Amino acid sequence: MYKQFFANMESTTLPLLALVIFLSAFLVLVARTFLFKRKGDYEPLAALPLNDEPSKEARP
Amino acid sequence: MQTQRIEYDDAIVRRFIFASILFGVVGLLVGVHIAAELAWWQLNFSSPYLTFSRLRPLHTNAVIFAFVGNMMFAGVYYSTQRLTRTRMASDLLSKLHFWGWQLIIVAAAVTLPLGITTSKEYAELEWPIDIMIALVWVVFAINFFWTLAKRNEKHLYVALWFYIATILTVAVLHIVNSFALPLSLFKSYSAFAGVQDALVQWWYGHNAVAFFLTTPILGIMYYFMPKAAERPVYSYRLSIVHFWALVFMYIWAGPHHLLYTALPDWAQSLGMVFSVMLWAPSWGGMLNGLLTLRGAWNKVREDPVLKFFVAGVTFYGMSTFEGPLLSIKSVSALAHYTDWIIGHVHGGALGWNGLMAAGMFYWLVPRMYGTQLHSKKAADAHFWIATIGIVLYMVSMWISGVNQGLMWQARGADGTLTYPSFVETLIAIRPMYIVRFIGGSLYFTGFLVMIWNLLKTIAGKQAVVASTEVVVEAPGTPDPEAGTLVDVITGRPMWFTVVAFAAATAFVFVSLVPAIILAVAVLVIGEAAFLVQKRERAAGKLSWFGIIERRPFAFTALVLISVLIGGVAELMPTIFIKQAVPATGSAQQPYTALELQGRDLYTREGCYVCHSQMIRPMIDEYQRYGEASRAEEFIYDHPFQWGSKRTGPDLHRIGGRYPNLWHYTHLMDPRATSPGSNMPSYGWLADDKIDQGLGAKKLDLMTSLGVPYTPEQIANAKADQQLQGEAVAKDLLAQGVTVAPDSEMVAMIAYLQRLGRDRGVPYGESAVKTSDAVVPAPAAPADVAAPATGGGR
Repeated sequence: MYKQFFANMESTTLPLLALVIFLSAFLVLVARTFLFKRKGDYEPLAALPLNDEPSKEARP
Repeated sequence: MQTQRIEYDDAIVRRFIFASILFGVVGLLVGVHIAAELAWWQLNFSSPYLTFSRLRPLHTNAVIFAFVGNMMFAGVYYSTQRLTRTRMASDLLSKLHFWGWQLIIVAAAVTLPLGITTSKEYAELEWPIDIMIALVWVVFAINFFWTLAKRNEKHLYVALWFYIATILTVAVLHIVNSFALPLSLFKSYSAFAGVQDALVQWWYGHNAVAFFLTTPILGIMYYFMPKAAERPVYSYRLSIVHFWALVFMYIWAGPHHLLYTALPDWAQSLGMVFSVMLWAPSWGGMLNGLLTLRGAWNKVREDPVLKFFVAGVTFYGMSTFEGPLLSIKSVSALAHYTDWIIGHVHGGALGWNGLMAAGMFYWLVPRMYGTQLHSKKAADAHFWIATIGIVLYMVSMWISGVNQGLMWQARGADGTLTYPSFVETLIAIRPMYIVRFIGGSLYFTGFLVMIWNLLKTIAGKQAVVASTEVVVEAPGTPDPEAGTLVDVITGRPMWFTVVAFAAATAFVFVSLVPAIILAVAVLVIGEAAFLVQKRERAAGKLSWFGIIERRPFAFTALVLISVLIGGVAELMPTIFIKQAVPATGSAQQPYTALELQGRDLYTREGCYVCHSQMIRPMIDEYQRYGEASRAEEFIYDHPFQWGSKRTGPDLHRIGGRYPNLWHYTHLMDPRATSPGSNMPSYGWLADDKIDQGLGAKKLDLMTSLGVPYTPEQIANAKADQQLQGEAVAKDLLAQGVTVAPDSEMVAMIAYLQRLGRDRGVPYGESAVKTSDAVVPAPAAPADVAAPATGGGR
């Protein structure tokens, strides 16, 4: 099958397929980021630069 | 548990800021000067050391590695200490890093004007300096990772990820692209040749932009922008997505610098598509930066720091929109080799890097001296002067570039070139070169205003010793939430990825029914992964990402894998598969010793800065320059000389088109043969002599790189040089010009007359594929001015 697969395609076919897959995946992830925003998940992480005080989660 | 006071090492941050500003002045000043040279060629004052082609690498190196490099280190050292809540692991390593880096910069500033160069763009420094760069980078890496290891904060904030990606990838890029065999302390030859060298170089070159000018500055954005806006980054989740997408994809985009060249088509297409994909993660970062200011846009009006950050991130968005656009083959056909690319690059460098640097300096310097910025009005003035300067620069280069591209392509109703003389196109864009000079000068003026403002800010003030208190657990106390390395490796996302990737690969190699089963299997695996993750989240279990973001070394390994996938997939086939670059046996002849000496002068003078040696398969290029360049013609080119910009015409088939006297006259006074040219005189070539004794040594070294010189050729190198030199000198003498056979001028002419003479297949029998037609090659290019009278073979 792979011979037919490669024989019938242009050199841009695979990269374009990669482009479509990538863009779809990226759009799904962006939608997930914005639509299902769970507050609290990353808030402590996002606040790290704003808090130069001693951390309660300090480790050796 | 005990409380400990941590004193940050901000002295190193101040040093890097000072060095960045100092070298920023140098880099920008050289930039303004060479911009002026393009408009007024006399400004090199007939000195080789002040000539555009030698100073342009100094400008790029100074701005990239000295100005942005030092700025980046300042930001990294400042933010890493705060984000890890610990002092840098070793003050000694910090100092070694600082002084080592400055030594490298000084070495670059001395060697580049002297013409000591590898000719690989943004990697021009010769091998001893390359080794020094690698060592200093290792010092930086040890200090950084050691600091991560002794940190007092569990989590690795996103800025630190970008620093990790920078340190790793720059190391990989620098080492691979610097593979070379040294001839002497100041001269080496790239281990790669022709197509391979071009691919490796632009894999490096593009990713120097990505991982030196972009990722560390994104890290700085993620730290300093929330600080300045006094609110957290808009979406931490988005930062995760765009980080991984960016580091995985950037590395593939290099071949977009080589579209329509002799690089294999598959690599070009891959480069183009990944460049287009980069649009998404780049804009993810840009939007995340700008949206951090949600609800705080009123602050932008009053706070100069935020002004610079917002404008810097906006320029990042513009540049990363324009970059993918320019990477589309049909757009590249117009824009490549033109000033459009220069405009694009400066939008990123002046807009993104320069304005982010200014914002960071305006935020950091007053804080480090416990004071307020001396003058907000002066900072505002700097902002507007710089912004107007950038706009003038970019718009003039856009106009110039599009103009060039269209004029080069223009053909009349009879199919001939409308502007057959290259100089016509140069004269048309000269006003834009003057506007660019004004734009650059304005930007430089703004930079000087910033220096004055910062100096006034710190005048009479003492540096503040910054410290913080951290709660330190007793050594050996386990972190109940931290996973082990086994958890990382056996984590479900790893297994899902491996299995899905294996299934997707197998899909290509099996027959129809198993292929359908595999495709369904991939979908089932994806669904299962989603469900498992959902269930574990509901159970409150720490996610796999939660484990790795606390384990810097696991994180680093994953980043390395992400980066290497693209590099290996793209570079290996072209380098290791012999058929990747077709060779046509005896048709390909290595350079003679004199031609090789001339070639070294060509790289020393930086001719590649303004002249390409790569004719693209397009009808107008065919008419203007001759047959399209082919991969096999460069198999002995260590290093390649394809160039990336045409301020002057392509030279790949210049050999034999003009008599030796034309080349002599042109190099002595370019306007005598090409009225209106902005090329400086290279008169010193007639006065200076080559070292004929080096010829044999060079041929011998080339054999180590795979160039098939015979022992006789090596033994007779000196005599052969003399013979070939005398033939050229005799030809010139017959026309009234006296020049020594061992002069640099003769060697340069011998090399130029050789260019494009090995066509691989008998001339006239090939067909040239153009963008819109297949045209049989004629007996000779249409606009040959005169036959060669010697010097070439």
